[in-house]
Amino acid sequence: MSLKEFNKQILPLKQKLFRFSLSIVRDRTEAEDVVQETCIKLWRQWSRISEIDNLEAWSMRLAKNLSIDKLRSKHQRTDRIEQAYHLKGDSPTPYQVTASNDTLGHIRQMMNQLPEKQRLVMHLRDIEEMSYQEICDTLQLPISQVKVNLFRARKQMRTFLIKSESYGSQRH
Amino acid sequence: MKYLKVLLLTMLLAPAFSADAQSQINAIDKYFQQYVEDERFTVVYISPKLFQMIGKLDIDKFDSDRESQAIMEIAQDLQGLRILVSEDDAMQLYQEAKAKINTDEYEVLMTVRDRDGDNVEFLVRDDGGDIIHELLLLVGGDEFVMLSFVGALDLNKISQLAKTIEDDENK
Amino acid sequence: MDRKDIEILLDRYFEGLSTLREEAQLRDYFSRENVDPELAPYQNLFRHFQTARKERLSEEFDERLMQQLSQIEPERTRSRRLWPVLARVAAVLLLAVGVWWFYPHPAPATQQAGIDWSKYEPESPEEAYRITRMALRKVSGEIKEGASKAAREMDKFQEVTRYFKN
Repeated sequence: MSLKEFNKQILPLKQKLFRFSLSIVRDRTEAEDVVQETCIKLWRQWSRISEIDNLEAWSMRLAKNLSIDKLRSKHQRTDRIEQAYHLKGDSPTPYQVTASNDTLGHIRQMMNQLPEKQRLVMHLRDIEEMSYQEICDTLQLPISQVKVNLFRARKQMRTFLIKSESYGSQRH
Repeated sequence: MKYLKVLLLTMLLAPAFSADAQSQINAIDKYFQQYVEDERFTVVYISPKLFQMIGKLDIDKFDSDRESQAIMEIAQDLQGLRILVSEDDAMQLYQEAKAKINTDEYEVLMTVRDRDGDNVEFLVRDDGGDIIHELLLLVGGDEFVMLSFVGALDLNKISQLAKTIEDDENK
Repeated sequence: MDRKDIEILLDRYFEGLSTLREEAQLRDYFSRENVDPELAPYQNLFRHFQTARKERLSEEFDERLMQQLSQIEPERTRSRRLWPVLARVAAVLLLAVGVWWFYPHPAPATQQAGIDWSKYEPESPEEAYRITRMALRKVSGEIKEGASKAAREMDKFQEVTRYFKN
């Protein structure tokens, strides 16, 4: 199984994996690292892949786990650095910095405030346009949980939107 | 021995009037009883009803023609498939499973050490004829696998399947 | 699509009842310039979805990746492991491995009539077919290997079968 074959198979997946990882780690460089690691792991196990019927769900799951690990270790590192230098507060990641410059960025920030499961389900549905079944396969959740989380996420976003709109109109 | 006989009898009598009574008899039941709550195991079961449904599937949805035909041929003879897998304590579980299998009922067809270094054992339960009631596969190596096919199996069909895979690989 | 229609779709959306097609219609509507001012609060939301979808890896990514990959050899096929497939299947089976409902450990003297295997069934006949195929491949693969080994060690094999045949 050549590198070329492999490339062809994962080509449609790479961008999706990137966006998905981005929604978790919220940093472009780190998300790219995750995608790279995921591809490397896939390549290493390429001989087994014919047994994996749903390559996309499998690799999305891998990317999710790698992203969560990255996020966790980053928080640990940040905590340690903050402790070492007595820094306070969360310094914005490059992703957040650019986000605050554009008006749509605050939607991203709203989504980041959602509990993780809700945010991921919303990402997969509203941004990646996946069916419920695909979301189930990717996140390994029963369909009932997918529906509940989506419902709650959207409801919460609505609340955020209405609130921010009322602040907006107050300022004018 | 007596205990096993009682167990067998219980299992034979209990579902005696159900349609798939035959599919209740298998080696894994006795072995797995003690491990039902054990998290080390991954367990899968294909019931007689599911095999019926498989038989009605449109196999063109799946891959290579000859292989899927061979598989469908075999599937129509099957009443139950049970799979146990554990990645932990593989060798220990393998030895234990082997020890628990009643050699009065099960005949060792073959013992192999395959190219990956796994210990593999085939056992069959039949009544002396050509049709096998249960085919048992035990693997001990990096992982422990116990596979039980129950039904009216024809080993010739399985070797036919092996041939189609071989032919496909050589394409 | 007029405002009324969109409002209906929005309601469905926030109730979690909208279809993919309806959601596409919403995104479509809100990407327009002349959105009804009453619906303005939702515009940013749906526009964000469109924008976020366009996120792309950097241009150098592919090159970097190729460099890395070309230095790695893929693993040679080990014995077709059942585990990765079953792990995925088990996950899809709405059964968390380790969520057992009842069966107290039976005391040896008073056995129950057997295990309830229905808990471990796959969801669809397609899934069942795939599992059966995998299991049969494993079996026939091992038989093939055993047989070829036996062909090489004919005497030993005959001895073994002779011993076990009654």
